[in-house]
Amino acid sequence: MSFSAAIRMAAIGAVALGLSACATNSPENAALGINDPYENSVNRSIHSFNKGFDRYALRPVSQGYDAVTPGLFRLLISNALNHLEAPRDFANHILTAEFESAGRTLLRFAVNTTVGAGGLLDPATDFELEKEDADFGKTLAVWGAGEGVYYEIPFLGPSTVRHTAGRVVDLALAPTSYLGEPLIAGGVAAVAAVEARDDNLGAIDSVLYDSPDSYIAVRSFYLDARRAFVTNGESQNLDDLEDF
Amino acid sequence: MATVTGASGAGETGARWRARARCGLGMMIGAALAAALWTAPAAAADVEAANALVEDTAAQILDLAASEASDLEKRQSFEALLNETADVARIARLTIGRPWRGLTDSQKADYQAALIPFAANRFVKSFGDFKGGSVRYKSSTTTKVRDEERVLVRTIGRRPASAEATDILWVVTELEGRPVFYDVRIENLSLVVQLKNEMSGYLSSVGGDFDKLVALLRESTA
Repeated sequence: MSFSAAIRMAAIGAVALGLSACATNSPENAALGINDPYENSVNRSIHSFNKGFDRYALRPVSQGYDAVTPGLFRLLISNALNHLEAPRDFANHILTAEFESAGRTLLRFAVNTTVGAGGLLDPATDFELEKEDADFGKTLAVWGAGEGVYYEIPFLGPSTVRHTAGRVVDLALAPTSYLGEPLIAGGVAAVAAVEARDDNLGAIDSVLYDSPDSYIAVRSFYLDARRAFVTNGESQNLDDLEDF
Repeated sequence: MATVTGASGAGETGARWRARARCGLGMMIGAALAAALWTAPAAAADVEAANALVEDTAAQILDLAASEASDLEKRQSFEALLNETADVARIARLTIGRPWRGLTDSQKADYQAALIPFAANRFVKSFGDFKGGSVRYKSSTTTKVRDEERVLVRTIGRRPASAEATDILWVVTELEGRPVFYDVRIENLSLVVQLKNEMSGYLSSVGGDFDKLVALLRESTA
């Protein structure tokens, strides 16, 4: 993701944040615990655009990438992309006082940088130093910031005000932001998007193309996944569902 | 009393007491051991049965995902597997929540019949992303919620071209004497909670008309 893309996202986030003051959430969405005041005015149109982008560009490219690149090459790329996220993970573990996770992330970074050929290999996982994801959106949640309005961003997909703000701060922690070459940073972001689509081909297909209403399905899937991530699974308590 | 009868009497009484105490303690330890030996195999068998269910089901899903069958055939095969290995009635009930109470038996049956193909599709496609990779047993723990024993079986999924591990937790309980699962959490994301929130969204979009929800589900898997 290039720095200019981050600026665009920040602008969209700021606009959404500003507009949220004058937009009204529907009672139906409020009853579902969803803050989506732009569902019918903007979001469904952007969703249609994003779905078309996925159908005709992202999905075919990710399938092509999967077909023509050897498994070993994809594994090296995947490792390298994970390695680039280490500064983000480390900083956010520190900011949320998860010091053990921060320590393991630092150790993992050191092992993979040295023994793992600069991050192309992942010997740290064999030493039980698994990747522990953290981002600034989660940090904001831990600090007590509300989720904010839900919206879809062209090309980037679903987000919330909190998540968008987090993404902008995380960009500052991405080594690619300091290369001074927007094309390289943009290329890395594009490869990461293709990789992520390829890794989750079936799950995303079933949500986007096999649902009665893909807008509702994507919103529900995104919010559940984000809430599960920021609460370490606490939002997914089945016992609450049993209690009736 | 022993202190009044003298040292020898006290010693004799003390010896008897110690002998009785040893005997009582021995009996208690024996009883505890017997109880442990009596109950341990049953508890261990439950966990073992749950582990076996999960390992077998995960292997069958991965085989199914890797097969040359069409998406429809895969979904239908997984539906059969789901009916065999999962508590589908409970999944249906949980994904509706409180409104379930107000439904007629016929509506409940219709919903379950429409939901299972939908859920099977979601499930088999999500697991399809591990095709060529692996889903391996890691650990299991037991928990008790409202007098019900559950076994939480943790597995680690690995996609074929990614070193990153995915945490997959299966919630297993017992139904009519056999182990069944009723939820799977991939990276903390519960498939049942996800389905529940999705169904609530659809139900809200059709003005709370339950029969329209069933029709929507049928259309999407037709």
